[in-house]
Amino acid sequence: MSTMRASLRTSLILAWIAALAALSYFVQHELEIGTDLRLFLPNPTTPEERLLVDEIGEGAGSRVLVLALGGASAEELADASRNLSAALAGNPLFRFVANGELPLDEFPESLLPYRYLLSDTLDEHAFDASYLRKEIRARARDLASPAGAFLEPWLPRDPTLELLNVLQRWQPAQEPNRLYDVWFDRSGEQALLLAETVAPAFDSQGQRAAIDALHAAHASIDPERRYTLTVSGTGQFTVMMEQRTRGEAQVLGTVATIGMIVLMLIAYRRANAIFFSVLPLASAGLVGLSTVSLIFGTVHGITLAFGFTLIGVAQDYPVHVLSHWRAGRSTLETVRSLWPTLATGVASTCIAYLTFLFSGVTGLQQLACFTIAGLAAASLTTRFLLPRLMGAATHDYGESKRLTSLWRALDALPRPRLLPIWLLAGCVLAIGISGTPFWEDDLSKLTPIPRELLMKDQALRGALGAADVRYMLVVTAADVQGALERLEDLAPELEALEHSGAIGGFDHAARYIPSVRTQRTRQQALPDERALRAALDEAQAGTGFRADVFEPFVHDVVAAKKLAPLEPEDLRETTLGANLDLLFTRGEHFTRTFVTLNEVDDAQALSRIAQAHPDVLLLDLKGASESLVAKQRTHILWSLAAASLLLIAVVALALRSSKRVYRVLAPMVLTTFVVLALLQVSGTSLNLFHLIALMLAAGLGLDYALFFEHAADDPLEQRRTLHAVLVCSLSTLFVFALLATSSIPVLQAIGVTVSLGVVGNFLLALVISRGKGSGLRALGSGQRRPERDLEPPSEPNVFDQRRAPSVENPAQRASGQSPVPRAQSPAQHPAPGAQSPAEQPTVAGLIPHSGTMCLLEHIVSWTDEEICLETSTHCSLENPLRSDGRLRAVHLCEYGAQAMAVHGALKSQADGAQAAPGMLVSLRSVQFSRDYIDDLPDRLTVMAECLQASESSLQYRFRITHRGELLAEGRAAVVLQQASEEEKILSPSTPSSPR
Amino acid sequence: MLIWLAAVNPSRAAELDPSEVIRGLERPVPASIAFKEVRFSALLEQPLIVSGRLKYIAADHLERLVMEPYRERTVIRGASVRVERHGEKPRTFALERAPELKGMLTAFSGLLAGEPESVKRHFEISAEGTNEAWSMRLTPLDPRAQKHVAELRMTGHADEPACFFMTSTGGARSVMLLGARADEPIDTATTAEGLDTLCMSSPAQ
Repeated sequence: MSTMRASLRTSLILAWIAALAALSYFVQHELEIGTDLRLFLPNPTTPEERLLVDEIGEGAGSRVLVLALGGASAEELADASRNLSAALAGNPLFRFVANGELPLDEFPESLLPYRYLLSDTLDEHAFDASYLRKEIRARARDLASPAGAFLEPWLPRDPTLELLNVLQRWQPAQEPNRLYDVWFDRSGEQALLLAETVAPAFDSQGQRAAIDALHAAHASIDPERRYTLTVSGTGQFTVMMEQRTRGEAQVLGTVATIGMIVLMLIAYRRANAIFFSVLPLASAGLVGLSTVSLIFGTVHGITLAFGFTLIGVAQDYPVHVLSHWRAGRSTLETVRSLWPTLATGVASTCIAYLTFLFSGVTGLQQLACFTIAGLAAASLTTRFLLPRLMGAATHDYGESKRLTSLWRALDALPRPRLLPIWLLAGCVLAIGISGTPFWEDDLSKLTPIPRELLMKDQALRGALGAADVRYMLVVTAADVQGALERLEDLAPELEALEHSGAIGGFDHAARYIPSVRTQRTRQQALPDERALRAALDEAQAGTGFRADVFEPFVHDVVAAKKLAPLEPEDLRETTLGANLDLLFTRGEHFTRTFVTLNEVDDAQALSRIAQAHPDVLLLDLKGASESLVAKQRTHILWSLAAASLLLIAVVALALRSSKRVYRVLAPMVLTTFVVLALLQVSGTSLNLFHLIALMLAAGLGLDYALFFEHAADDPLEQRRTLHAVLVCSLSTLFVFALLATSSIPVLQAIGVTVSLGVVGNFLLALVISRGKGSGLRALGSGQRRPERDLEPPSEPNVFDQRRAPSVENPAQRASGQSPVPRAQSPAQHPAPGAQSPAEQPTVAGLIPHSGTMCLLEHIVSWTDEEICLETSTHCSLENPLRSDGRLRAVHLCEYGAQAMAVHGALKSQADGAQAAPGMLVSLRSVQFSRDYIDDLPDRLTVMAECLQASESSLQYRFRITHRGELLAEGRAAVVLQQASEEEKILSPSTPSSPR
Repeated sequence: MLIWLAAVNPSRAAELDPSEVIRGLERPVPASIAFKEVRFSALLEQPLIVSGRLKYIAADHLERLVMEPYRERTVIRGASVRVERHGEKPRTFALERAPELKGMLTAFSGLLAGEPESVKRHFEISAEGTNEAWSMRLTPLDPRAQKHVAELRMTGHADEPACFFMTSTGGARSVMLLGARADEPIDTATTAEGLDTLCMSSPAQ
């Protein structure tokens, strides 16, 4: 039988593992991990926001990597810069690599005649005799100057140095520092290059390939590593953060795993506990991933990270089962009794996450999907599969000595009822007076990239004369030519601003390639061959140049006059073409182009230009990003608000009592406030990551509170719950405290927030959700502390009637409460007389204890003053009070207490009255003659004698004997209550008066 | 060893120790010397002739002032060259771009510092003639410089430099007459060979 069960168990485990393996195979093959940050942004509505969102993913700036070569002399670095640029030329991963060199001899031959259409010389000068003479004379002087040697080969073809003009125009408007002809930073310590990747910035695989190519090129030109290569830019950050996150996650994950194993071993003292707790969590992760993969196709990296954070709560589900798993009760039954509480937590969390599906932010929708599927999988496997693997327990964590003393210590903690209000007020005050901005609006601060790296990147870009990051003008036209013409029209106005100092400079596409309109005008201005030759002959006379030396010049001018104007598409293959592409965004019916600005001093002047032209927009990237972040936050906050309402509704539906709902939700809400206040006071503004972390903390808190609340009455149950919640919170705290040590801001933010949340939720759940223990009621009133007299660690709340005020409520019988029905009159009642055991009235039905928790079996006799019962449950293996297979003599107090309860019930029955709930407030002079009682072969005789009865209290003496041997005796005081349940919760210690 | 031999047997050797000559050329900075440059080019019917002064201010700082027939100032400082001419926009370019100029600057710096070692770092040197009338040939060692500069040659008498010849790989030549020689009248019909002869002759003639 047992071997069959064992083999069944083994095959179930194997089937489960096989299912997980199949899912992980599916996930590995189907899942695509996306890194496009835009998935986590709300849909943009204004043109500025739309532009911003386009820029974030595909924008030119984000694809350009800055390369810095350092660690050697400037001359060596300049050489390295040239070599690196040459090594990368033609690499398909890059659209261009530029190091600042004027590629005089690299200019494509086919484009050379175009220099007359691209240069602005012809706008101001004609190629007549006087202009040419002036130029040719200057060239003669150039020849005699130190520049002569390198100009000489060019002069016959280009006596006006048009190519140089064009190349100079093509340099960035704000010329960076140059040493040895290549870009350097201002101090001259680093040679700088720009490399634009083909892959978008957030395509981490493409970026990694590109960055690997850069390092490979470095290795090939510098095998001895004489100098260093630093790569900076969004792409590099994407790759670096991925690597770093992975690296740190690995280290933290390893430490966390070891820590968890140690914790589980300490908590459960059995290796298979680890295995049991891992299965539901693994199922959650894999089911979540598969679901998102099926629905969305790709999963965003952030969804993964956040998702795995959020389903961490699933680890707690098996922990609850493990802590409540005990001897004397089948595992399935244990799980079944936990299920309503567990299901309430899971359902309310899942339903709350549902709201994210309507957030309008794809990333959040994925997150919701992942979390709901994962948590559902974890809870269902915990409920239906796990108990079938676990077999029977031989222990009860509720019996643990250390846990008991901890539990008593916690029990003794003061529990000021106004604490929540004071705490709330304190938090609101702290948030109010802290000067920290509540929300983080700066989109750049939302990036998970360490600040110093961003600063370094900005410094490098600044050294390259990069444009203002905040403002740019956007010109919209029907097509590229229209856009170029508009840029040319705008140029004079912008030049005026430059002269007045409103802006430091500006750059736009038409500076590189004029419109077809302008090129045609210049073509018109070029002389025909005959006129040119005549002018040249006249100009050349007496300059010392040979007569026919400028034939190549004539040839090019003649060619230029007949050329079809150059369009940006024609430049596609060149460095410039790649640059130009960045300045245009081509839509279906429009083309957008950008005017980048330097050193914007007067944004008002720019906005006046934008207002004067309906097709020109001043884009304030900072403003747009802030509005986008604010919108994102609004979306998330609305989702959270809806989620909170749903959560409250679900909890209320499950608990059906406003007091219980309060006790479950208050710790969670308060903790959220406490964490918010702590973050604010420590100077942290909130961002998306904090919100996600707060959500997780709230989810954990909900579970702690639900379980504490569920176990509020039965001491053993309370201890098991304490055990479970301790394991849950310690393991969560351990993992997130580790995360808090991370160097990655996101991980750190999540780690700190969740750690604070776990501590807060645990403590507050202990205080609020569990605050109604029997002994504690008296404590709460501050009137008396009778539990100080408790001699043995017994169950002082065995009489607690909070949820089961009457014996007639069989539904509540499982929780171990003993009502003390109250006799209304001291009148004598005839005893049932000496009956045979078969005829003796049974105890069941008189007290709310059911099944094995009903420790007494037969009533031997009773009077108004005393009762005598017999029982042999101490021998039963099913006795729920057994721990480690033994039954301690201490539990005889519970036998005595149940005897008093039965006595009360019998007296009330005889009076035809309702049993009044009572509370055991003290045990005095309790003495035991032995430690264990499970080895006593015969029935126990339990006697209870009422020593004193008043309207509000009762005093009993009890004696328990075995074959005449006194096992235990003592005195017990019971306080009676008749208040309604609601009143008891509010003022739990008020002793009630009789009718 | 060579130095020692040269010291023992100072004159009348056709093979000359260039180190000895170079040491004699040492001038304290800042040094200044008159020049007249004759530049031959395939583009030109006749050579271009300019004259002025060369100012050697520091190891990486040289100024070339043209006074005749027009005024022009070239400042070579660090890695960049700036050419300023009256009525024109100054033109700046990297020294790297003008290997000829770079070669000249390197050679000049080494020669005027009187440091044979620093010259030998960049050039292979050979000398001939006597200590009184010498000719020194400098061939660049750097392959990149070799692409542009075929050979530099300096002639002089005792510790006075006379002429500086530069032949580019493309065949263009320029001759710089230095110091007293700069005053020699040069005809536009002159040839490189004619100048060669002129430079080897003793200043007394």
